[in-house]
Amino acid sequence: MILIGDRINSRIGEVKRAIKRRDDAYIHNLAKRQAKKCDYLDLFAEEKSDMLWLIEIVDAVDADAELCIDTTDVDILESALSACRGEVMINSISGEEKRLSEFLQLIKDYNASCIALCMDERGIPATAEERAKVCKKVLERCVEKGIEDVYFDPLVMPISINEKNGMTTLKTLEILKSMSVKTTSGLTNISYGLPCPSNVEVAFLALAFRYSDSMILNPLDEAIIEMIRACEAVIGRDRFCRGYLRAYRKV
Amino acid sequence: MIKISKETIERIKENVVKGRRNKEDEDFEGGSIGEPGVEELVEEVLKGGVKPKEIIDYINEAMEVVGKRYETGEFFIPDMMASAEAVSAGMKVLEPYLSSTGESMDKIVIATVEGDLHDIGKNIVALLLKGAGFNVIDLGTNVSAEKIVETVKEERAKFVGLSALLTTTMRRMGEVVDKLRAEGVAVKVLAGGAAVSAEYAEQIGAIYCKDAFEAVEVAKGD
Repeated sequence: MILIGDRINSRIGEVKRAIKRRDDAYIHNLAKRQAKKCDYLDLFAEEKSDMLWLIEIVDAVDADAELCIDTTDVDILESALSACRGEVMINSISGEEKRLSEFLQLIKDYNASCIALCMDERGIPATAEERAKVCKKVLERCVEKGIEDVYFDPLVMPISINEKNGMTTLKTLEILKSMSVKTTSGLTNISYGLPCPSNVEVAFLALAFRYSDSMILNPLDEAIIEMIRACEAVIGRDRFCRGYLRAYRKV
Repeated sequence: MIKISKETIERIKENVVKGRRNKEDEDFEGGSIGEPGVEELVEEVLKGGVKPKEIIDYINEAMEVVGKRYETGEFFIPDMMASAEAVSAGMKVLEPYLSSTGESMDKIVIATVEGDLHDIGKNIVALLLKGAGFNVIDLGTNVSAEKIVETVKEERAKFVGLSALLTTTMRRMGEVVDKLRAEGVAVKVLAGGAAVSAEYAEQIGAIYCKDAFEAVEVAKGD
């Protein structure tokens, strides 16, 4: 399971303030703690100068995690890609035609992996079947361009807004898997607006796990990390339960 | 005329807070199933001769309670959604009576501005405004300034509600307001969404609403 840490995001109040006052110690620390638990660190900032500053700080962290550039702006993406040193993931492309063609070229040029949202200029399709249709379109475009390393995001919407949202995402994941594409989902969206969000995220994680190749999540939430280890073991991806036992022995 | 007790009208309020549309819905404790909900109660008091306006006042009072409970953290988003849905159900029962008595509802055009596809917040605002008795024209997400201005003019709306989640798309709100003013459209502009601040709203000449309840309050207070 490829884990993408989602904490460095200017939509989180504390992070936004840290970016504003250019608090490199805060960001460095947040990157370092996450990097111990995941494979990629998602970076989201709305302004180009902020994004480039984040890259500079996070790139300097001595850890194995790679960067995941979270933007819909081609100008920010281009500058970010030329600033990154290691392997990069791009979050995200979608069925939106303009962004799709511009982003695919950059993905190709920089040999990056990417996340593709199952939505287009009309917004987020209401049903799993329609979301899979968008996935199919994006997939065709990626194949044409010779881009293979793509994770499709079924789009997770809060169950607090509509109780069917969880099942729509799970069904989409199931269809995407039947199409033999790789998938990733943003875990924190599912619990928006509810108390004890971690419980809801853990439940979704367990239900989505077998259709998932990656998750975008809060790696600092110990309950989530534990659930991932348990799920890996349950679905038979953890030979002799070694990963699970390693974690147990460390405690 | 059938006498309607004050108690029955009070029960409309109580059931809006509990988010019970009709007799099939449960309350917070899982009880009340089989007892009349907002739909049945509104029907009952209307038949008893209570004026629609009076019922709407009760519903509004109930939604104020819901808003306060949400603010204090006692209520969560699903509680609010349930109440808003119960109000919509009640309003459907009320609607035919409203038009026959000539009480018309103020129109409000609502949209997420161009470049922005986020609609969770906007949908909650639309739902609560409908609940408060407004005629809501929801243009959806990623709506151009032209389309918004055109609709406001066509519908002769009293208000327009603009939403944006991103700082980059928030700037489109200013364009919408400028266009409205340039064409001399006298409409009150309500602005909200994660990116929007009171300062920005003031700067472009819009009224800032920190959440859906404030949007309803602003619109009603006019």
